[in-house]
Amino acid sequence: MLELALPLITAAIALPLSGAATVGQIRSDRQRKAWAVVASALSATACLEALRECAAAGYVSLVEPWLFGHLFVDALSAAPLALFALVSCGVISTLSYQDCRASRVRAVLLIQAGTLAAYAAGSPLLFVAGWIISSAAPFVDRPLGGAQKTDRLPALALTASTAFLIAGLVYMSWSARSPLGVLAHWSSFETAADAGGMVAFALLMLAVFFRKGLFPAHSWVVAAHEHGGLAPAVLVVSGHLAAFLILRVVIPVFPAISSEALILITDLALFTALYCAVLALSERSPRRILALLVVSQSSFVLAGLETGTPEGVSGALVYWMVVTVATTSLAVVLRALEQRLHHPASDRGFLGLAGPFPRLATFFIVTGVALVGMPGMLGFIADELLLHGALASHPRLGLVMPLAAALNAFHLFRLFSRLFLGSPGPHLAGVPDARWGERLALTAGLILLILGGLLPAQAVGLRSAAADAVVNRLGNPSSHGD
Amino acid sequence: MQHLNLSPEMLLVATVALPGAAFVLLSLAWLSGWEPSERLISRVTATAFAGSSLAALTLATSMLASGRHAVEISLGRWFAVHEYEFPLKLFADRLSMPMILLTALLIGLTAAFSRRYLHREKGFVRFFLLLNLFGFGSLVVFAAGSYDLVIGGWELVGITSVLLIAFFQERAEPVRNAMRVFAIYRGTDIGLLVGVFALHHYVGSGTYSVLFAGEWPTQSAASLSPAQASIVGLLLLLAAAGKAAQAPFTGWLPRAMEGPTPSSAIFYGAISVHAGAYLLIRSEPLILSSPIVSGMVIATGLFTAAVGTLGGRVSADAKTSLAQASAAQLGLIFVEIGLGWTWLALIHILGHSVIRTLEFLRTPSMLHDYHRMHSASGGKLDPAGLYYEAALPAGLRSWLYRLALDRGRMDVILDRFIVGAVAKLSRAIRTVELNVAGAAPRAAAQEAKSRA
Repeated sequence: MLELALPLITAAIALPLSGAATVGQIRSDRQRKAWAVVASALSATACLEALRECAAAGYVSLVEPWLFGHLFVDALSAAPLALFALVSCGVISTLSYQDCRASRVRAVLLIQAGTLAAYAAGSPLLFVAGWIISSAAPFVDRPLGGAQKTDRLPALALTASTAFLIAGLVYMSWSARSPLGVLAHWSSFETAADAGGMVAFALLMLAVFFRKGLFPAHSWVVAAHEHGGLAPAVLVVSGHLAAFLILRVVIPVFPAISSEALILITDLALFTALYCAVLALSERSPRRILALLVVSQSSFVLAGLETGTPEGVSGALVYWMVVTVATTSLAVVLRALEQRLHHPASDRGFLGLAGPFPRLATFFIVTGVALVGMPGMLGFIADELLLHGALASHPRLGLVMPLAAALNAFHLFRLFSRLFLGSPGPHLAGVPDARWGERLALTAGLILLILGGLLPAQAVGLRSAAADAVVNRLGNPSSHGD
Repeated sequence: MQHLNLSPEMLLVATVALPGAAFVLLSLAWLSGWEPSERLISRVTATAFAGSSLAALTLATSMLASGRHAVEISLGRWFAVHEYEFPLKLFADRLSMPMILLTALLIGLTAAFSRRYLHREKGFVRFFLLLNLFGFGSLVVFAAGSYDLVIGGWELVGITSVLLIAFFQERAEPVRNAMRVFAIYRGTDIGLLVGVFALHHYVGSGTYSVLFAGEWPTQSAASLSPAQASIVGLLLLLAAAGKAAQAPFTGWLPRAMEGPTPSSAIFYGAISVHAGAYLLIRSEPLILSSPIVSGMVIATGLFTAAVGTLGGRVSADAKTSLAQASAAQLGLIFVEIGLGWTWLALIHILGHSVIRTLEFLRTPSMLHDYHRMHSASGGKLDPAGLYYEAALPAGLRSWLYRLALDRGRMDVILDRFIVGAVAKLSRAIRTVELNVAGAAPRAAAQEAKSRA
């Protein structure tokens, strides 16, 4: 088995983890942020190097040299690993000192470490550990002054998803009559095909349902965005661990059941996309609108994965990248506005903030149109692939997706108009437009979305090996294999 | 151009690419923090459209001289996955060539006019950036060799149009109107997206050369059943009606007059609204193969022409009156398309675009001239035009007057039966959600606080 040259993945996980462990001992907000940025940036660098090595090796599995194969990168995980590490680093670097209290920084670093661990996990046990760590945000960073029922929703949903995940994996190992063997390494799943049958499949699907925030569990995503910190909320969702669970466990272990039963989750995802798009029409709070946009748009990732066609699966995997970058960027801009206005941005009336903050306005609208499929941007490529991938198997996707995307585009423009246009804007003497850290992070995101749209072959190529692997697993005879 | 020995294919690429290059250049300059002078911005734009017009003119001349009916160039594929690929194919024939030439020339002229008209305007850079992007988008629509590529240009035209309606962004009304127009654009664009999706589903391609046999205007459609042709045709009609402000979407056109006059001229007098008519002419073999679709195109056009004429007669301001007149003329163009008179429709588009652009650009100075003449004559200028309505019975006349003021009640119908219904559904599910989550009291308190 091929190995990575250095223990890059261990470093990528250990750095934010150690940052989270030590961040409470740092008194100064400035130093705390600097420490977190350094940990996160080094982690991102390690992930990028792992991606480079994996790509150079032809997207085969590369294991860590010193952990007995318990951490590895392959076609499925290499790109998400690097992307999520970069996005986390961008989010941390744009945190204002107001947001740099120890609990928030710890939550963000834990999400980064946990998500990376889940992506790179070589065994179900490590995967569960990563899943749990990445779900810790609502417990670590509780909303200030809130004890409402809705404030507990994120914690409840993430706990439920974790419980169902553990139950599913335990049931699988119990059914395979070799608990340690199955739980010790993914490769054991090859011999444990359909272990646990429909019961295990259903338990794992419930984990997906809660983690992804499919209707009616979408409420936790909205609550997390509304009452908690925007940074941890958007990162928990942007990890797309539910989709990763389907790719890593559900499709490989249950190929036959998946090709029959995943359609249910696809239909639920499509319904969720449309439902959230309609619900957002009557919402006024920018945070709630953003949360519903996130749920609606990211539902298409699940819908695409199940198509079983190379175009549809590639579209879903590219969509994953688009949603992750674009929604995180939108959240960063929204939070930047909130901090400058010293209160959550209101949707009542026009705020005219394009006057004092023209760069933030530009970042918001360009990133937004990239999310909803503006031609020339990566979102358009993902839309096209998803739609054409679903031609044969899921023609209803071709109807629901444009409808939901049209509504989401309207919400986005409404939000942009309310926040940035329509009035001369307040006189905010001395309040800066996008700061350097924000400019750098948001520009990097935009470059990815624009270059990915102009030169899509590279972006699609990053995920083509993973798409082929998924298609092969689902038994599509037209696939080329990995 | 011919001295440069550029092939017709390269001329076509240059025609489309030059405004795009100007947009990229000006965007990079602006994003880097450098604010180029008004003179430089307008010169870059003028050079781009002059080059584009010259290339288009040379191409048209060479096509006429050589008797060539169409020029097609494949720029490869934008991306490909497995069996699906997005072809980058540009195409100019006797239908698209006049549209390309018209677009390059009229946008260039409007840009030259705008340099003085928007002198020292706060959004000068923004206007020219969007004008270049719009030019690129519309040239892509007209020069596309496939419906897939049309979608790309179509969306660019839509977003630039909306951003220019909200050009005077410090006032609430233009922004509200831009939101309305955006909603209608995005809603009706679903027709194009799903229509193209359906074409791929039925035929397996969105490329003109696969879908249509022969040369325009004597093309025939691919083997689609009448039912399939009706579905695709109706979806394309929805998209065309949205872009061309035809019934029941006419209401957005007067609202779009909130933008600066040059953008009103080029978008709603010339290029953008005619993109809808172009889409229908391009899809004519599909439309004529379905009597249902042909009938719907004619009915839509007739109704819009009637309401537009009436609306124009009761409009209180010159730009709105011109907008209604545009909708009415487009209605007639739709009727011509539905009847299969495509040459007439194309000539009508060209003539209407030129005249309407002139009228829009002349509006501000014409009003000024009129006021001066009015004063000079001591307020004794006779009203122009005849009052045909006087021949109608009084009851019918007042009913028509109310109908015209309400713009054919189309906005009311859309608001009540589509927007209202979806908004009601949205409010209902929000109420249920808040009650289930036990968050209703908190939400009510927050809204009260927000109102206060």
